[in-house]
Amino acid sequence: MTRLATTLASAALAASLLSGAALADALDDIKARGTMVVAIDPTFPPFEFTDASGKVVGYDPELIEAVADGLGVKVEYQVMAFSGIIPGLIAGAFDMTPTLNVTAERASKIDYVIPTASSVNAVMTTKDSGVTSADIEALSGKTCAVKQTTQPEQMMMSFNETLAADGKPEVELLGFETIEQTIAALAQGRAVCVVDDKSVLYEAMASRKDLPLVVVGELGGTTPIGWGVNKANPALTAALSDELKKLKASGKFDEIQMKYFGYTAALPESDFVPTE
Amino acid sequence: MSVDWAALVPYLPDLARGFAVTVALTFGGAACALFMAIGLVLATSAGGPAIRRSVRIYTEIILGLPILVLLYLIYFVLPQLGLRIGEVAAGILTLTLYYAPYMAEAIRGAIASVPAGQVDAARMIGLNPVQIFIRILLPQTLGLLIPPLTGILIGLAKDTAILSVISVHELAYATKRVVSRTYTPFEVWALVAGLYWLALSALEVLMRRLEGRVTRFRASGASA
Repeated sequence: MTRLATTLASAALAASLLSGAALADALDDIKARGTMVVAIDPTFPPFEFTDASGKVVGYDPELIEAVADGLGVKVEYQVMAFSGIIPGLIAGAFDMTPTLNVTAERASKIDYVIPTASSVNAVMTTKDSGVTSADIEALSGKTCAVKQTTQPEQMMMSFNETLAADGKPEVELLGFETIEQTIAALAQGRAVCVVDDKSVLYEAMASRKDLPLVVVGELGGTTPIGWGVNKANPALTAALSDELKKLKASGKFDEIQMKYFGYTAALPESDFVPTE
Repeated sequence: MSVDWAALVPYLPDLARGFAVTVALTFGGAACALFMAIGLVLATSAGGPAIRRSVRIYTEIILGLPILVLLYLIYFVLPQLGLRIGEVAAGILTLTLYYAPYMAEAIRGAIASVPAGQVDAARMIGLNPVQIFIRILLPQTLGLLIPPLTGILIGLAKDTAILSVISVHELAYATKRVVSRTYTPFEVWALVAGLYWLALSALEVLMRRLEGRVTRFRASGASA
């Protein structure tokens, strides 16, 4: 009995500690301490990755550092697996995180800064896998690798619901922590395809020339990608959006897009959250 | 912080399926590890010096590896050497290879605690080796074996969560997925933590009962 009471008391204490977090807007805290804490999973080139010295680099880090310059603060990266990032953001464990697909589900729990990129998912396979189409019907009954807890995984689970409703076999999903592991699963024949963001897959294809990788096509619609902020910090979200707009006006934004993607794209600044 | 327990109701079947996989992995892994542990004990007690040395080298390698590294070696590196096994099989193999040496150590310790004189005495009064094992060694070693084995078993049960990184659809994997759908990390992880705690406490109680059962001869022996 005392053991149960102790357990309950500890749980209550933990809950009260958690609820005490994030009272003031994080923007004030960031300015006060001079650093913005950014959670990042740098296994997602060209969006974010690590260079030879282990430094976090890529499209989003470069934008984030430019924005932090504008705010007069430094950036501190907190490197973690993607599956921990959105839960941590909701719990208030850090200030912001980049490279989230903007979905209606997520927008009900976190706020988005104006989009920094747009994403379309694609299907990558090996030349000898027998997969020749990115059509969901063509993938029915096959095994595909995805990154755990990402928008591509969720998209595939939604497709599976549709397949099941039509009486067709689902796509079996293997979920891993990094894009590199999904490619290993593909290369080892555990899966016949990898579903993820198209630019990430092209980057992977370029860096793994030892494998007969091929992107057979796109799957699903285009969604914006943006930075996520805890809903308790609207001032931080607004400040980050304003700084991004300044970078767009100065031409720096286009320059960074060109550097990492090889093209520039115009992105929406309002009404970018899908309704469903 | 607003708490929204209702959000996870539609996902309870997913969590239940994950829990069932975790239970199966625990018992499957424990059974294989125990089997291998007995093999290791027999090999060291009855095998020649070469076998004994191999067992010692194997044990030392395992004791020096984090289970996550062993798991990655089996799942991602072995295929490059031409041996590819599925997610669940790789998971069970990892648990087996990792926990067998610990179990073997517990078994060796329990057997060593029975004085050699007892076996000599049993032989003197005419018991055969099978009778000696069943009537003399087993009753005394089981009572000594169960407490350390319980600790190892609970460690193994907890380590099944690590298998989520190679896409074994157990409870931690299901939990990560549900969190990514509901965006209610507090509710889902609190529920799952409670579930793990309850299940492991139940396992501990069960093992203690079993210990009481196999050592009941101590109490009844005194009054007889």
